[in-house]
Amino acid sequence: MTTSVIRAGGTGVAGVQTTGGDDGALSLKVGPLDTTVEALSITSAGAATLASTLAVTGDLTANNFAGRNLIINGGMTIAQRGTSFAAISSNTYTLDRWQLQAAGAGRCTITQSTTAPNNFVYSTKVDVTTADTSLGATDLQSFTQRMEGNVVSQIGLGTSSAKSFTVSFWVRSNKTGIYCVSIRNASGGRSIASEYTISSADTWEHKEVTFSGDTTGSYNTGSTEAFNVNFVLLVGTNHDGKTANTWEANTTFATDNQVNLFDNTSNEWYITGVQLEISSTTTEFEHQSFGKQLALCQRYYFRETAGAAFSGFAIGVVESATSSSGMMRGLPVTMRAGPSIIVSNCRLADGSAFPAVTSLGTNWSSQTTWGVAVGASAGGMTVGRAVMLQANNNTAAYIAADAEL
Amino acid sequence: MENYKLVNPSYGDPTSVNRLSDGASIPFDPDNTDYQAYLEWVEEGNTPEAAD
Repeated sequence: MTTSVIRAGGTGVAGVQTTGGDDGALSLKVGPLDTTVEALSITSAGAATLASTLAVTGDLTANNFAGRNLIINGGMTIAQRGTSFAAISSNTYTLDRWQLQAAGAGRCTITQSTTAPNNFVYSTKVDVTTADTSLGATDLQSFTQRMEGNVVSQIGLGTSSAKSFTVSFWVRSNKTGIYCVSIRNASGGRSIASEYTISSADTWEHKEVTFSGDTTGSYNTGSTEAFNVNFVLLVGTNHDGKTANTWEANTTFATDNQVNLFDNTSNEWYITGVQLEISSTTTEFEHQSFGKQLALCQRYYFRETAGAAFSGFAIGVVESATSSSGMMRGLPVTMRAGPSIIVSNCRLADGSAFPAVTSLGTNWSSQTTWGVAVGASAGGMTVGRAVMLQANNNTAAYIAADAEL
Repeated sequence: MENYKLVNPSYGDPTSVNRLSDGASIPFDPDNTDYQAYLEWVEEGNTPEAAD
């Protein structure tokens, strides 16, 4: 054992004592010689323990601080719309916040898959069901998240203080080769792509791509879309031609090296653990609680599905015996914008009449309230009565509010 | 091709339109992307169905 003592004076005078044990650990003690207190201990493995308060005047960095990840639902855990989406032929939202941008002959089924790397439960699987081997110029398949200005404005894109940011993710495919991740601003005038390589077939690989901060261009900073993050799976000639890692004044998605995942119906591609952080390096994926992720997703889309055959969704008042009832309810979180409303497989119930819902009328929703006039299939309701919107003997019934980007 | 139908308001001016493909009721909120798509559709020269 080695003990070093650094002291300003004799016994009773404050000083520092370092004690290196035979195990290679370090103990830093402070205080008078006879009553030293261990302030800091460091094991031979580098794990440090501080006995009291830590005050930091500079930046504090770590690889697991909360709030690093600007991507929502990067772990693919939230699936309010469902867990399987077949034959996607146009831009379609799938798992929460994730949209497949689709154009051309290629078709795929997207599912929430339990094939996942260690410490993850879910991934998104893109399973090619119709090949696209003769690409049209406008053909495109891209797994995309659209980023709200309020969420990413601190990156400073479009300003002289724009920061670099890194996108990291786990990916797996039988189709090896070069793929692109691209960033495109919403106004369509700026974009950048970076390449990554899937080296081993059917093996989870962790990838990261870093983008420099764009100091020009225009990026929305409020509740509208600032830019989109695109995991490119197929591009026609209108969408490729990019120079990797270079901001360009165009709207293209990929370099010419981008593989065509859709060249065979046996192809599949998985992704999870998507993280976007303001840094030139990546850190471990930030797993957040299910409830927090769900709330973040519900800013953009909310769906309540019946738990029973006649689950109730909203209450209101009968305005017309034959045509309309006004329904309202609160939304779980403040939505990004006034939402579009969808009602599926529901009926009205005023206590004596139970007509099926056939149409929707005026939408008077706000960012915090779900409200719509509901039209029914038949009369019999009593004007002025309270009325409930409920599942029409169908456990698949649902109501939804959509304020996606 | 998408199609829309105007909604007769219970009172006041119209505040929403229906998308016929899925029956969605779309508010006239400028930040709602469904409404933005509707406006683009109208700008392309299309006309929604009249309200009942």
